[in-house]
Amino acid sequence: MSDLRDMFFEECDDLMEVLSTGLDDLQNGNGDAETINAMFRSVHSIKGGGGAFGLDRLINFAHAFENVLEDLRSEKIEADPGLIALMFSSFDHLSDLVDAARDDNDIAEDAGASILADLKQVSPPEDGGAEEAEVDSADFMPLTLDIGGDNDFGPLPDFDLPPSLDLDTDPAPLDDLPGSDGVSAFAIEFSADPGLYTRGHDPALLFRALADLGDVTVTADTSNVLTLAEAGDALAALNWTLQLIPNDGVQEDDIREVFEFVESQCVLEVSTTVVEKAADIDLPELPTLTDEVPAPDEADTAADVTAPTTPEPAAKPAIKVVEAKPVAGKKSEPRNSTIRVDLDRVDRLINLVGELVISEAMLRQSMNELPVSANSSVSEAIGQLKTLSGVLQESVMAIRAQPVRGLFQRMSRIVRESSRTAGKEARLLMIGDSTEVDKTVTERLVEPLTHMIRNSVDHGLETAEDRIKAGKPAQGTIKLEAAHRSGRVVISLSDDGAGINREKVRKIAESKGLVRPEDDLTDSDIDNLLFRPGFSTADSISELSGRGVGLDVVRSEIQALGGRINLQSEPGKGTLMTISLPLTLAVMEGMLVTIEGESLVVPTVALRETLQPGQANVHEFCEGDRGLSMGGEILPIVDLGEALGFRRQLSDLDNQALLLIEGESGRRSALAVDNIIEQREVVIKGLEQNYQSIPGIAAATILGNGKIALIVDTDQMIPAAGKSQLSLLKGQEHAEVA
Amino acid sequence: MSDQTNEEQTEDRIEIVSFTIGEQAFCLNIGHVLEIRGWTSTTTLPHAPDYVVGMMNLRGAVLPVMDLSMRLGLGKTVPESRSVIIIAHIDKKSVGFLVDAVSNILTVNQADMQPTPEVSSARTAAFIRGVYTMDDTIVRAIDVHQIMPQDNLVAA
Repeated sequence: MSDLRDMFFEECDDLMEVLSTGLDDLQNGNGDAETINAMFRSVHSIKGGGGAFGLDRLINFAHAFENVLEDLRSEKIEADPGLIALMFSSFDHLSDLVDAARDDNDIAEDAGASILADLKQVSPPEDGGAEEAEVDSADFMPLTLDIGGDNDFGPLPDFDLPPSLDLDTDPAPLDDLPGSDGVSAFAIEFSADPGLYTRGHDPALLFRALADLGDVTVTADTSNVLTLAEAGDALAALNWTLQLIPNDGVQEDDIREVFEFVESQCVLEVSTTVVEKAADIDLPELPTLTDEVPAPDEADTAADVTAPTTPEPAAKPAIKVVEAKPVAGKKSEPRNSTIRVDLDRVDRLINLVGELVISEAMLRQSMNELPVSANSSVSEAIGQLKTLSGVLQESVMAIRAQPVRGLFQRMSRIVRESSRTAGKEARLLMIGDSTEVDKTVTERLVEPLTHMIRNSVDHGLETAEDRIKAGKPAQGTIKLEAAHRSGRVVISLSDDGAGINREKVRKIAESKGLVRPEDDLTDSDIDNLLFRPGFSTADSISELSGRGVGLDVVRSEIQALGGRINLQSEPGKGTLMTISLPLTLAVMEGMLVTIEGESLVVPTVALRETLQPGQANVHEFCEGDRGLSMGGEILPIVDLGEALGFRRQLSDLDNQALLLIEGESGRRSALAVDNIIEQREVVIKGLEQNYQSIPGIAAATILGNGKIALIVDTDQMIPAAGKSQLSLLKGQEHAEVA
Repeated sequence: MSDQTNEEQTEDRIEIVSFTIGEQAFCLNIGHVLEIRGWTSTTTLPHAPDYVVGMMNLRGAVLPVMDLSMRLGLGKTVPESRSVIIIAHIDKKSVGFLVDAVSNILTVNQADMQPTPEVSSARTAAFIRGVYTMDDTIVRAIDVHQIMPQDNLVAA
């Protein structure tokens, strides 16, 4: 039972996502009939599942929500902004209910009562409309009676909905309710195109999957089967007629879902029919499916199929309710086939592959130490091993990648809630929500992003009156954008609010002793004061933010993910916060270098060029500062060994190699190192797990010889604009918030 | 790590791993000890406190090695082949402690732990929970939570 329960809640997550996507589409005017259908189905499935677990409040609410969607579907009402807003709040409440049910929490008795009332007002449950909309289902009701002539009210399949629902006018499609003395069944006509077999699908497996949904009777039509000699090139000749007496709650969509992956390679017709409850009187005992349906391994094995001689289903389809609508989501992106895997298993696999890559590197290294003659034949195999383990690693990492859509959708709720609390008007614009990011990253971004969005609404956006005064639309826009950029994921959050009030920030910082009045601060210095611990600019501690945890918490969360956060603001125009994160948490390309005998890795993403310093292009400045002239520009030279405290300042750079790096902000500098060894892929090992973050170091990795090499955080090695020294060296607060 | 409650709940007898640093004997609750390894070279960490020797590779995991002697104010250990690293799991982190030698695994009576002598310096008071008396030597029980590098020592 608990497994089923878990499964239900997992499904709920998916269903809520569909619902949320639908709502967004409606709001943006992209919605069509299919959008509403999909939303309806989601709510309906949640209601159905809720019924199975006796979640009364969930059912009641889903029911009211469903009524509204039903009316919307039948175009009795229109999706005006008011209704969409109501549906958004309904969505929020529904997800609260699901969460509460999942965690066995109680939520306040009156929570959502007003939403429920509003929903009921839009679509009164007594309204016969819901029923009328189910015309097709309602139509077959009399027929059921006709067929099951004997008034034998046989035992009905368990039907778990609470009694309250029975009193209600339940708009659930009646075809999933058992008829009074007949059982509604599905008649499925299925014929496969040759392509189905060549893609490795097997009808027997599909039928077996159907068997999970209810009692299945399979009849094969072998009339078209050719002899092996005639069959020639992969012609699919078998057609099947199936009759499914569904288990409780099984819908036509569930059936279609079974065939989802072969949709384009078959002809599928699903219709409802009614069979007598005691169907087994008419149907002979059937051998198990496995024996019954031969599995055509290849298309042309169809020839030796022995057709089962099952009689035609007892009742011919009473009414053919062939669904006029295309299967769910034709317009939206095609649904991908998925399996649910425990995250621990994936992580274990990733760790193992990481070890494999290290072992492979160690093997390669020891090969290189052998005399050349010994390894010529082996080196090719080793090369293949390298390629394979690389591909393997990539594929394994891809398992963890997930679109940020779910994360963004949660944020859309935060915007709604926080703007309501703050009494401001705001909408969330989401861009690039299909960008894939490591699952851990998306999970751990929830908190920081929530906080940032609350900040934007609370401090960034102005009130509607102020906005109108400033010549902006009354409704503020918060834009959440995700994109892949040069091997990293960049998530930016911008608002069109008032921007940072630097004067105020500075005043507060001074009053809190963070800066001195005589300090000369650039605009970006002031902006970055916001990330200092314990900073809050709100005049009053509002419900939203200003709880004492400030952006410093956001920053440390982002840093823990190997990311960094940047802030730009323009008074009157708005604020832009950019979070840049590593794409995966596990591998990267890096340049192996040595300094004073220590091996270090410089990430290739930041690397632009390697060069030898010459007398002509290196210029000395005060205190041993050096600059490198490159194409008319003078770039700062940073001695990596000195920056990391491995050695004192070098008297000259003659024996050094220079790595030209470019940071996130586009600024560049040259790193001086002793030797450049080679470029290689390294497995990232976090330092925070067992230790803590180290300034100037992003992570560590294990080399082929088992030694640990540190990975340089290049962005911290680029002196900030206007600073004479690396902040790192002086141990000051970093100029760049990172 | 709810060793506090563990120590209170289990019967009074606990097992400890005793080891030496210089002339002094110390111990850790065996529950914290994952394994004991010989000295392997470590990778130096920049901007690390002086008692952090570096990072070591333990079958693919990267963990810091702390010079316990340095941490306790007993001077820097020069690692040699006889030196031992005790791998311990403390507060969800794995850490290696560089010590001179591991001497024994002992079963002691929890109640026999005596408070640290009043003469203690601040460092002793912070890092030593108490002492067990064994024959004519005393074994100092290390407070593992205090001994770990504290986050504020290296401000990011």
